Amino acid sequence: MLVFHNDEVKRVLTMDVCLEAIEEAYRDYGQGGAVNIPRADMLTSHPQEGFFYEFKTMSGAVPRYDICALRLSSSVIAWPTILGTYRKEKVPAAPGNRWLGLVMLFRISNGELLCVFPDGYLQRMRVGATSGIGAKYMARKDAGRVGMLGSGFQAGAQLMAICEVRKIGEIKVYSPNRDHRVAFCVEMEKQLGVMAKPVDDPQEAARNTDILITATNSMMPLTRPEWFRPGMHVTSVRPIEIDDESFKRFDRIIKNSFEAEPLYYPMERCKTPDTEVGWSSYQREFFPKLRILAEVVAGKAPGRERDEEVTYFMNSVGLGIQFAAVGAKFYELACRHGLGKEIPTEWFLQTLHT
Amino acid sequence: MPLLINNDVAKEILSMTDCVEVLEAAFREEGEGTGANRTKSNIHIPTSDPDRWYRYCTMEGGLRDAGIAAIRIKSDIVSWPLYQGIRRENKYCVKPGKFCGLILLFSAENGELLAILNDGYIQHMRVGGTAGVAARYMARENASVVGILGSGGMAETHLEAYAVVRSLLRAKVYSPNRERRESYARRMAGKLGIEVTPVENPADVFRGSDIVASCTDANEPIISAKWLEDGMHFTCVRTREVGKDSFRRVDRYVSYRSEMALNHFTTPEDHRPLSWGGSNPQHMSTVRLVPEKKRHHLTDVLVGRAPARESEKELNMFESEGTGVQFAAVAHRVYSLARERGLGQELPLEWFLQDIRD
Repeated sequence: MLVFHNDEVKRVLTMDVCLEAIEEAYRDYGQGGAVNIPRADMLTSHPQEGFFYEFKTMSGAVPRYDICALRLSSSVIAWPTILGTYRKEKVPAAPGNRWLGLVMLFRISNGELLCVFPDGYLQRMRVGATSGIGAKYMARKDAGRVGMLGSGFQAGAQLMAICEVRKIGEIKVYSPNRDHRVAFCVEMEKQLGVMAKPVDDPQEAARNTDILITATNSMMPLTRPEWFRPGMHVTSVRPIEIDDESFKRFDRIIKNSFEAEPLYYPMERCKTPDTEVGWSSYQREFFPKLRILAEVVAGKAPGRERDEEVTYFMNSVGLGIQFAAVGAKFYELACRHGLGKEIPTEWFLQTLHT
Repeated sequence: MPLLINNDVAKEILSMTDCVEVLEAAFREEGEGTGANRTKSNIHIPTSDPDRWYRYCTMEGGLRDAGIAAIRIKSDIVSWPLYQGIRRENKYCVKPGKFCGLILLFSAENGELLAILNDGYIQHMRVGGTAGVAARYMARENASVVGILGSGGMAETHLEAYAVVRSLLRAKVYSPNRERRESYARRMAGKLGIEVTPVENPADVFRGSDIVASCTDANEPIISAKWLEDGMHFTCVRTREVGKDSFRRVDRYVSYRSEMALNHFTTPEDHRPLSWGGSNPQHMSTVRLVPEKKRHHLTDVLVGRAPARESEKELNMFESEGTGVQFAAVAHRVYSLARERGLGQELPLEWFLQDIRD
């Protein structure tokens, strides 16, 4: 059994490998050859006023890699209003002001627990890679200009992925904090070798771009329908970022998961902004009719049929197979590089039959 | 620092009295709405050997008042060989004789991982303990004779749990292997200070017993409704041990589970494993042979929303299926006792925390 940390994941896991993993796993999933236990969130009130405890898990198995993965997080959460928008925040409540999120990988052919590691870096990469595969199948082949709303942890991975699947020549970035967006652009230019320009208005970020990405933690819509011109591809990690009118403007919408939202099982029927809002009723009604990205990758649903279509990929609600696929690739690389700390597999086996 | 707690440590510190106590409190919390479960979910994947399947199973739950959440994970290779004419479930992880069952226990106050526990001993205790909670409400007050089918771990914990909730005089045991049933009888007589008699056929286990528990690994009905008697409280560990005839015969059916287990496959409907581990639609339709008014959930019984027994003559049946709440409650008690006594192995906290907010 191996234990890894985030730095080791970061050292060997590159975006091209993540894209390959997501594409292969989604093709299998679209054909029924990979499987998920959908995400479930347990919510309960916390002794501290305004805080909640959230226990989140999802699992998935990808036989191609002989891997079944569990991903879980155990978090204290709150919904503060920051710079006029209402956001979901994970409180660093664990010792040392840290968070807890873990991935565990099991081998399908013998049941063995292979490794455990924090989910942070892999989480970032798998979300980015999934948007990348969305763009690969849905954006115009000649898409070269990207607009980005958000400059956080997730925004960077989204750009890494988009730059792998399309030849990108220009990136515009808006986020409410000027210092953040400037620093983000400097970093992205250095990392991707593509011109990245901070802009002070969200609409400006969208103007004359081929791909618009929203990667914020806003709990309110950010877009306007007039931003979207023919041929554009839009992707968001959270559907709440897109307003209802924009939804109506899209010619084609593809979702990531069959589930519109996690299965919530709140104790004492506690209501949180997540269980209360998060979705407009229009989006909710529309959602069941949408095809998933895995069906597009498997050739069962079209991603784009005409150049002038406005397409939208809703990269919300994670899937266990993403962790199984990207985790499997990471595990293989980590073993090849001799990373991780080995601990006895025997600790996690037992002689009692259950 | 999180504790790694193995079965030997759990066995040393967890008494059945404690187990029944924490389970009863947890079920009451569930009944009151401050405990919650995510229904057991399984993934089934065929292996290169057509007789063997990979089965991955998780369930999770939390208790607000205790301030904890837990997930229980199983990851094994399963097969169903014939033994003495009956199909039994066999499994292993990595190599024969080893199994993978883990509980991860978390603090709902700061999110940290409190412990990783092997689930084997806790699993036997929580199933037995749950049957004990049920018997406390469902068996006759003066119940003193127990019949046990099976001689494994579950057979032990069931009898122990009944000894916690009723004053027992006598127990009878049957299992197909003579040596095993005799050794069980000696062991349990010594442990509980009551008379335990091995019997030569399963029907004798039922005759004159006030409480009967079926704790076998049979994958098909092995119990005849003719063996069930008035006034009896009856329970079984594996739903498949009991046939339709028994469900038609019982006056009341109480269960403890978090809805029907959810199963996920990569194979078409005509290519599925022989057993899915837990309830399935077929079983749930069998359960419906008991009139709806006589079917209750244990948590409702505990908070007084449903009756457990209405007459001395009533024949009632209890059945349970694993939930996260059970593992959370029992694992938390084991963890607290291990901390108190300085048992278990400390694991580095930094393995399970990160400075990335995702």
